[in-house]
Amino acid sequence: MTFGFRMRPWRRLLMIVSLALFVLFIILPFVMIFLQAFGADWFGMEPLPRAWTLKWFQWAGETVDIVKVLINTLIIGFLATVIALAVSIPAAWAIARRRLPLKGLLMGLILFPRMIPEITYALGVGRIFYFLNLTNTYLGVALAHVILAAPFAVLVLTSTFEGIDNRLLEAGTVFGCNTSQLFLRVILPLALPGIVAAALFSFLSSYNDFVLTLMLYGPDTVTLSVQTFLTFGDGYTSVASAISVILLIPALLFLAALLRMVKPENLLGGLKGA
Amino acid sequence: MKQQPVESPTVTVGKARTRLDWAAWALALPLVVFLAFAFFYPLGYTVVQSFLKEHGAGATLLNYSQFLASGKGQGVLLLTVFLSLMATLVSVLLSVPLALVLRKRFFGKSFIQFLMLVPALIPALVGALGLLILYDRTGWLNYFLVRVVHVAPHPLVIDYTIPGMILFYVWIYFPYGALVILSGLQSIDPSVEEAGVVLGASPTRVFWSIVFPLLRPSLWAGSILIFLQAFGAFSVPLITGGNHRPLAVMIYTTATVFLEWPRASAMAVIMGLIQAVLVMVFRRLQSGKEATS
Repeated sequence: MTFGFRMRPWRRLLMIVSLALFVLFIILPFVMIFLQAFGADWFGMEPLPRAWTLKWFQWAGETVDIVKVLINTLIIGFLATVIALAVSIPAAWAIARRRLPLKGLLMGLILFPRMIPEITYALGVGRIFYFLNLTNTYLGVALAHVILAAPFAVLVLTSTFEGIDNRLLEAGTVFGCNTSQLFLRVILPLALPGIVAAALFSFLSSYNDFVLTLMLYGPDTVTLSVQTFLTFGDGYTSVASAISVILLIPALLFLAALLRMVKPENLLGGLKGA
Repeated sequence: MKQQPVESPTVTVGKARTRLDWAAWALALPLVVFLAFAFFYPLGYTVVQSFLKEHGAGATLLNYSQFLASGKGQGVLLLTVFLSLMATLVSVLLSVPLALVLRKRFFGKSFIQFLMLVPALIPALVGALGLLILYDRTGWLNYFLVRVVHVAPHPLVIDYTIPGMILFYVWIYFPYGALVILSGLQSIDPSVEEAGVVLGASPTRVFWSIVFPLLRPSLWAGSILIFLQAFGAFSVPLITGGNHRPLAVMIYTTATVFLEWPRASAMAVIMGLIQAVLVMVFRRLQSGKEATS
């Protein structure tokens, strides 16, 4: 409430109606995917499918081996997360807590991938990784996803490390911790929320990625988003919807977890584009 | 993320250092090496490719001049910019009232705030699929218009048209602007508005004379963010565009369908340059905003 006069009834009604329309605008596409995925013989111009079925999921299992696709997606996401954290944690530490010369240059290098559209470098990544025999390998696809994940991981981790109070580190030193003990017993517990947020984010950007995966996938490394695209392109809208349901549920769960840790503005800034 | 203020974040454990710490670059080295290999090398390769002739060796500007001078190339650029501008305009028109409503307290507010984020944070491909089904000739919208309220004699054709693409872009990309505009609105001091009310201004007058001018930097920043997303959009136009192919889709098809890598590379460089300039403008606006507040 900014100022204290009551709304007139008709303005109140207008507000409720427009909010309801907004909710429908956002939610209905998701409803459609669920109806299409669970509905049998639904050809439209009818409000609901005549019968419910799981056959599209069964199709997805039989025709495109959806379990393998799901396992691919999870393995690639896990690899991308591990690599992104491994390279981002030391870099973020250097940025946050050392008197790093040319810090602006380093930040510029790290954030550069976020400044240009994915397709502009996906093209080159596809070519170079092909020359290096990295296409159609878990490692190759995961490495490409690290390009998306690392810049944001560095941002989150830098602000986490900056927030660690020097006095706690000094206390650790006073009580005789060596460097590795200091890291394991003092820094790690303090930075854990930031590290978890960076890990969740890295996984999510790998899980959701489409463009880079499209340039690198092969028969052994099809992921859920690429499979949705391929199945839809083949004209099987219902099967594509079933795969989308499988894709969507973990994505929403991860998102809800991530939103508890990171301010939404930062999340959008990191997740895509600038 | 919560964080306590720290007196001097650059001081290392133990004694304070005043000299620059070149050794710290060793910590950043793995990331720098990774980006050099996986990002900058492919990017440089693309730039080099863009100056190569289609067959055989030798440098040329032909890939650029052919694209920029041809009617087809200009059409692609025009379509990309038009789609992005329209999506930005509609998104801002949707975001401002939404942000104004979200300043009030009401039942279900946090749900609306969550909904406002979801389209941007799920795979765009899934959203595009749902949108295509909803706005199909036989989808729910046309069922409602034709069979329920009888306002349209025939189903509207929305999928695979330019207005349809703008609608889909808005659905997926408006959160970027809405968030910036909402946070801009929340940072306006309520006492300024109260002063306007006390001095007898109507709510409309308060909005246009007080809120709107203060909100202008956020409107610009939000617009640029939406524009950037729409400009780089790939998966959405790929499956919802039909015959309308904006730049990102053209790059992809030129490279992977027609296998004309140098031409595709030149288009990618043009696209990257346009976006990089816009990002610079955005950064300038953001830093200007921080300086004044």
